[in-house]
Amino acid sequence: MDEKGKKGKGAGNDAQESMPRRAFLNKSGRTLLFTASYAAISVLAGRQAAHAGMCDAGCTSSCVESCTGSTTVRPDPCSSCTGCTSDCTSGCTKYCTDSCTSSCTSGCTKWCTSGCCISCTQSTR
Amino acid sequence: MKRGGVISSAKVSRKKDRASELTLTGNLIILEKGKEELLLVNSIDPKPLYIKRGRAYVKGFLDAVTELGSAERIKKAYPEDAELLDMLMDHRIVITAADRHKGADKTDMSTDRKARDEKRAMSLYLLLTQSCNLGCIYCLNGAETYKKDGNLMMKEEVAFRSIDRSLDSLGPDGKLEVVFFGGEPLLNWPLAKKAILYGEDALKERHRDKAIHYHITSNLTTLPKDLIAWARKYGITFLCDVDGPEAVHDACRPYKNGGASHARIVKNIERLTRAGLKVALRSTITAGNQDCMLEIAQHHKEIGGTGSAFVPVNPVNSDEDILSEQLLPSTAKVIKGLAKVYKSKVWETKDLFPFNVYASHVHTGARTVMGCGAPYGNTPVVDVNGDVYPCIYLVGIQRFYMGNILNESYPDNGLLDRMMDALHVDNMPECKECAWRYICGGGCPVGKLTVFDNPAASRKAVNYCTSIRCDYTKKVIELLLWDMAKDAAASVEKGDPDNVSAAIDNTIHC
Repeated sequence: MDEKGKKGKGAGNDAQESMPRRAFLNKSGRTLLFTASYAAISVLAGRQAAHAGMCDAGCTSSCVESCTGSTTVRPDPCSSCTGCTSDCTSGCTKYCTDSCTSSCTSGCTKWCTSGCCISCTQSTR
Repeated sequence: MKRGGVISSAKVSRKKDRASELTLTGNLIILEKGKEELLLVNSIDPKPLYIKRGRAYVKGFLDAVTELGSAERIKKAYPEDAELLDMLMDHRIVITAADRHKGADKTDMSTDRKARDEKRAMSLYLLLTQSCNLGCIYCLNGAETYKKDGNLMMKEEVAFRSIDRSLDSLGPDGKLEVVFFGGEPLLNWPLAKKAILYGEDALKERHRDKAIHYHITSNLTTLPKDLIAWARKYGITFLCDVDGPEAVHDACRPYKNGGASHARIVKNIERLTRAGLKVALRSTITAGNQDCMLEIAQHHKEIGGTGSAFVPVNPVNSDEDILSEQLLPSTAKVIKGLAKVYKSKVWETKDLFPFNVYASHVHTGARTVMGCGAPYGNTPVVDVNGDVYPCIYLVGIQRFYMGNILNESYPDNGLLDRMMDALHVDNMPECKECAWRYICGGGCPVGKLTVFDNPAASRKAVNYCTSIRCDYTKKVIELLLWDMAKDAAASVEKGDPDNVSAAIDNTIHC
C-alpha cells in the first residue's frame, strides 16, 4: 500500500467525518457497516428463499428443481464457513446456511435468529 | 520417526501459515456503477456485498489485502477497519489461503454425479405426437429427426413405461413432472389422459411417497372439450408460446397453411384462465420481434398469462440444420429489450424468465456448475418410439441417444458422464477462468453441442450462440444483482441512503 493509500485510511468526506463507526444487524438479518469512508450493505438477509419459476425448455415452476435445482449444489454443513472451528462440524448447519464469521463458533451465544451479525462481539460498543 | 516428526511439524507450520494468510477469492465478480457504488460477489458462494458509498476506499482496501496478505498485517495497517475485513470474509470476498488450498474456491465434481444418481426431481418429456399443426418460422423440430409428416403417435406402452421408470429413478419424496410435449401434444390428448390415470394409479400403489405434476406445453390452437375438467381435477399447468401482439405473433407462428393463429390461441388462453387454470407464456425472440419485447411482456399480462419467458431463438434444429441468419436477433438488442422488460416491472422477478432462474442461483451456499439439468438425466425426452434424449433440443441426434425406455439400453450413463465432463464450468476452456461461472453455470449448452462444430454454421451463427451464452447471461445476472442491491439499500434506509441514524434506529444491536 503506497502513502497515498495509507492516507486514505478511515478518511471520508467532510460532512461524514464525525459519523460514528457502526456495524450491526438490522431486523431483517441484514448486515451493515457504515463509516465515514464507506457504507457496506449485505444484499442477502437471513435465509433467502430461492425463487422458483419457469425454465427455458417449456416447463413451469415445479420443473425448476429438475432443470436447475440439481445444478445448484448446496454445500455440506460447514464447507462454506470461513471460520468454523473443530466444534463446527456436525451440528452447525444453521451457521453455515446463514452467515458464519470467524468469531462465530458453535459456542457463540450472541448468534442472531435470522442471520449472524458481521461480528457479534465487535458491535457491542 | 524423527524424520517423520520433522516433516509433520513443517506441515503444521505451513497449515498455520495458510490459516492466517488472506487472499481474494478467485471467483470475484466486481461491478461498478456511478461514482461511488461497488458490488462484490464470490460466485461460488454468492453473498453479494453492496458498497453504496466509498468504492475507491474499499477497492484500495482489497488491494491492501492482496499486498499485505495476513489478517495481522492488514489490521495493523488499517486499525479502524477490522469490521470491514470481517465483513469481506463473511461475504467470502476475502478467504484464507487454507480455504483455497482445501479447494473451497473450486467445486468438487463428485457432488454432481451424486446429484445425478440421487434424483429429487425430474421432468419427463413425452412426445405424444411428433406432428404439429403450426408452421413456425423457426421450428426446431427437424423434418428428418421428428418425421413431422409421418403423423407419428406415441403408443401407451411407451408412455406408461416412461412414467414407471422415471418414478423408479426418483429418491424418496421425489417429485416427477410429466410434461406432455410434441409436436403438438393436444393432437394426442387421449393418450395424455391415459398417462395421467396410469400415473395416479402408480402413485397410489407403488410410489406413495412421491408426487407427480402434469404439465402441457402446447400451442393452444385446439382445446379438447374435456381438457378444462381434467386440468382442474389433476392440477395441470400450461405453457404456450405467444410471440407478440397479433400481427407479430402471426408472422412468427402461423398455421402450416399460412393462416393466422393468434386470435384462436388468445381465446383459448382466456377460456383456461377463466376456469382458474394457470397458463404461463413464452416468447421466442427472433429478428422479427426483437424490437417489441416490452410490448410482448405487456401483451402476455393482458391476455392472462401467469408468467412471461423470453428465449432467444436457438439457431439450429434437431436435424442440425442451421436456421436462416435473417432470423437471428441481435444480442445487443435482446439485452436492451430484456433490460427494458425487467426494469418496467410488468412482471415480478419470480414470474419472469430468465431472471427467476438466475435469482435462484444467487443464494448463500449455492453454486451452479452446469447450465441445465440435461447432463444429470433430469430432463429426459421420450419420442414416440421410446427413444430417449437428454433435452428437447437434442431429439433425434444419434450422438445424444440415451437408449430406449422399453429396454435396458436406457439410461446410458456413459453419455451423461461425457456431457457432465464436457459441460462442467471448471472444464470448459471458455469458462474455467471466468469469475461468473458458478452463478452462470455456462448458460444453455445447446449451441456448444450442436452449433460450434457444425460445418453448416456461419461465423455469424457461432458468434450469436457465444454471445447469447455469455454476454446475455452476464447482463441478466448483472441486472439482477444491482436490483437486489437496490432493494437491500431501500429496505435498510427507507428513503435517505445516508441516513445512518434512521438505519440504526431500525436495527437490533447485538
